[in-house]
Amino acid sequence: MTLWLLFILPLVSAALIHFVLKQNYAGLAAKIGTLFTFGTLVLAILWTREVFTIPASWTWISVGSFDVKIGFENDQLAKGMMIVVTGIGFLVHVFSLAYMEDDDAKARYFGNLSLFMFSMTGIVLAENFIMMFIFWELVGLSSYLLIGHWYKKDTAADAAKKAFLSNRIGDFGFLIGILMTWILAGSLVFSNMDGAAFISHGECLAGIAVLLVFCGAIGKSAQLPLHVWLPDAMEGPTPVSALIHAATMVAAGVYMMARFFGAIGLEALAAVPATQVIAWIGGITSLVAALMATQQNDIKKILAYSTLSQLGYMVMAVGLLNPNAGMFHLYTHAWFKALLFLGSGAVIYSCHHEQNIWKMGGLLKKMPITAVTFLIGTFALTAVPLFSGFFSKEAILHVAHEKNIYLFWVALVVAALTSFYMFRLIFVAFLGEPKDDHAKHATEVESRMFIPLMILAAMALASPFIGSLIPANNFTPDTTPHFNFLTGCSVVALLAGFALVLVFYKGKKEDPISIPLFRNKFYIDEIYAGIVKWFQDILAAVVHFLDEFIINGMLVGGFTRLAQGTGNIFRNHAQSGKLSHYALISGVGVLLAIYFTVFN
Amino acid sequence: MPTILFYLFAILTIAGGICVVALKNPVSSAMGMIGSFIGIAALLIGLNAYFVGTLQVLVYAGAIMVLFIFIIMLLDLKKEEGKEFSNGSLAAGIFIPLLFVLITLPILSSVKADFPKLDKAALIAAEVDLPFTEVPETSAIRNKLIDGQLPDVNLIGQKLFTDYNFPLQVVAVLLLVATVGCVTLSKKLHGDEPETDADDRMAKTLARSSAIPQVSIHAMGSVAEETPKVSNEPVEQVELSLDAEPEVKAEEPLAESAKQDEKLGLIYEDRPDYADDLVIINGVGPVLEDKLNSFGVYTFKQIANWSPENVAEFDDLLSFKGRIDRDNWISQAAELYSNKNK
Amino acid sequence: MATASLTEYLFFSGLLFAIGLAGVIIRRNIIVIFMCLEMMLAAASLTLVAFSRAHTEMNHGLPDYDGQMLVFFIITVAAAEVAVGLAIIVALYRARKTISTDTLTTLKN
Repeated sequence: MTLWLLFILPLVSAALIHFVLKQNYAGLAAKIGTLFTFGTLVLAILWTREVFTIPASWTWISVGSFDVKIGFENDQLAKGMMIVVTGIGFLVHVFSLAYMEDDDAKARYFGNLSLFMFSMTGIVLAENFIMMFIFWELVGLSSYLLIGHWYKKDTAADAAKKAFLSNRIGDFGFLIGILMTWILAGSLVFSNMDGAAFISHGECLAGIAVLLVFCGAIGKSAQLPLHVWLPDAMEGPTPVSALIHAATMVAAGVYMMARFFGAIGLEALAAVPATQVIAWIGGITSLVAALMATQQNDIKKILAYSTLSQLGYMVMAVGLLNPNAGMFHLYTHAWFKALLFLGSGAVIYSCHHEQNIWKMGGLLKKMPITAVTFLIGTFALTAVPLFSGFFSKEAILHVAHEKNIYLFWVALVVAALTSFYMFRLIFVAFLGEPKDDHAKHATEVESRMFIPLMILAAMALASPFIGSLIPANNFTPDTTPHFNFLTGCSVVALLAGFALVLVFYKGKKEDPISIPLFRNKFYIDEIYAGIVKWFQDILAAVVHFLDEFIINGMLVGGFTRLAQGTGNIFRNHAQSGKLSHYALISGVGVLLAIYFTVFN
Repeated sequence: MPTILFYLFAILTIAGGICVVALKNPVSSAMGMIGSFIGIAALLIGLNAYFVGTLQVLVYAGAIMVLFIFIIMLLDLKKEEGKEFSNGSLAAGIFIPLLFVLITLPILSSVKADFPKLDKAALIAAEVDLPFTEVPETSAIRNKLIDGQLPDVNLIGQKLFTDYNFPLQVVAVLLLVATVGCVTLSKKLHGDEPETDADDRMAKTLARSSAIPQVSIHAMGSVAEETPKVSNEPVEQVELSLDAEPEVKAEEPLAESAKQDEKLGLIYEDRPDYADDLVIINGVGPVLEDKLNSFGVYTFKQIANWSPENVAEFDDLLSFKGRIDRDNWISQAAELYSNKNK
Repeated sequence: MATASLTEYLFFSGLLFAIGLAGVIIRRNIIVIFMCLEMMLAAASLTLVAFSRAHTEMNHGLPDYDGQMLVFFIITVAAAEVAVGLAIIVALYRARKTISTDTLTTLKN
């Protein structure tokens, strides 16, 4: 068996569902999609057991001495990531079997999910930058299709467009960065990149290349300037949010940076100060996102901003030249964030598609399994000691403390805020009294929904301890709990957030704190819209002027008027209707005739 | 020709020519023309071209100029109205001919030949030269030449009827065609009515032209002032070769003398101010027009509005036997009326 | 005594032709324009006869009568032309009530 099977299976599933089965066989399509994903998961697990041989790359395009190949990487980074992608993918498929049971376009949904699995596999397995870029774009496409699944709703269609456009803007820089890397490092294949050559052209050029490549991660992983699409992407179905926007796609940016840094080599990159910029972008993103999350009232939006914040952590770790810590956090985060999203999906489902937390309440009693798994996920997210998140966050705090003390304090504040908004969610939605009819009549969800929740909860607890699954090269996580300054700080932050929530939110029926700046996402969307509009207006005015006055008026109109004018001149003189004129012209003709016959 | 005489007649010719161009009265121009032709005839005779010179006086000064004067009198042309010749055409008219003269001067300077002498000795020598095949022994040409005279007419005759016989016949046919053409062109274009005295008709036409009413009431002066408005309209109707007389005015108000007759349609007791020229309708001549006026029909609008009863009534009254329909008076009148009010 | 030479005859006939041309351009009365046209024809006849008198080589010392033949036909055709032309003018007058070329401009444009 070769890795090609792992690579092709999701594509086959997508093709089958989209071209053959379609909506007539929606049920069958759903089951086939799930089955194929299970097959991919099995293959991925086998891969970690070193069962596969690595096939040779297949040359796709050959131009002169340049080849674009389709080939696969074979290191722990890829294997671990593959497990994350296929594992969470499979669980999301199972959950969707129940969640999307009554949807009109179930087949399209599962087909797009399979397409996404294929694209993500491509990114994870890519051995060179071009192949990664191709699948990068494909993942963007799948995200567009899935976010806009209910495209008849205007907000969903707009959100899908916004996601794709933000991604595209990042990809613009990404492509230029890829090309610069090719020139500086000598090769596009990750294993052949030369770190020494990369920095030999000066730290300025290397820094620019690194930052441009990071642009792709800014777009895909929703870092600060291009983060605007992720909250809007919650328009898609909740399982989609779980898979794509929590666990896998947004993590692709971090994965790409880890792969890139691994290829260039950390020693070489230590000489490039531009990586500090990456770390700060990560840090500021996590802070701003956490602030915005404290005031949201939609359960999915809270989780979305939380994802943004955690991604900031990962990027910060990568920027501080410790990609392994970032990947470790990505790994643990994938499990518990998927758990939280699927849990919120279960809550939304049983509250009849109600997403406002102030209309929920008392769900702990009504939906015990969901609530408990949700609580486990929360503990993992807020880094309660001995849960998975604790270990990964510790690692990052450790790195920050070593490299950049300011970022360490930023990370600590973010940890406190994380605890604040997550426990706010728990207190309002799960504890207290039901605040709405739907919440009063909520019941536990069916087995196809809560079994994935339980599996994910188990992973949320145990993931740091399964070393062979961690997507990081040469990395063993520090899984023994220490009690030092860092752990103390993080526990203090956690408790501080919890205490604040107890004070403000226990038993409340509506939000006692109101900070419009946070709730309106710092008005960034409005600023962007204004800038785009201003730019477009100017462009349109210039083009209008060019079109109307220069092209139409001077060129087209000018030629017309020229032709008409000269015609008029001739016509007025040659066809005056006056006999004397005609006689005059004849006389002139006679003169000319005499002149030319006699004298020339 | 002795130079003195030559210059005398040459100056007469040129003076006549200048009179033609410069004088405003057409009759004066014609007189100048006659003087010029007489001068040319004299010059021709000075060239020993006796026959052509006589022909010039007979045909040109005699027939052609008389014809010109006749037409001038017939049309009763007055002096061209006081406007000066327009500056543009004056300048061009002097400049171009001047250029022409200048351009021919160098040509003239290359021609300095004197005329070969045609005195007695030359003529006798010429007689000897003449071939007997062309000119027989006892012909008048030889006799005259021996006598020392130039038999101009005989020589022309010989040449005309031998070498130029065919052109002669063609010119004869041409004259025939011209005659027929003149007669055809002079026919009146409308009306089968027997033509009254030509002068009378012309006078009537003139009177009517001068009576064409305008929006303003001031009396019309000469034809010339009227016609700029008339002839500036483009020719609209195709079935009439004459241009309609478009009158610049609004919808006709009913005159006080209008009354509705059941058999005749709308008629006027008195001639209204805006009466139309009914002769323009194909099939209506002046006599018919008078008859229609006597019945109170003065305008195109009335004819255009005739109902079938009206048509039958007028047919009886004017004893047309169906001409109104045959010549399609109603549609003609309607179109004339609508063109008038454009 | 001195006789006029060919040059003088040609000069005056050319001048007469030019005057005729001037008349056609300047005058607005159609009949006068027509008269000037005739004047041009007459000038041409004069030229032709002058040349015919000047070349006696072809005709055994006698004037070359070919030119005078042409003048004969010119006069004839001019007569016919005048007749028809005046008939046209009369018809034109009947139609337009004017003979001023300033106003007879229906060929315009």
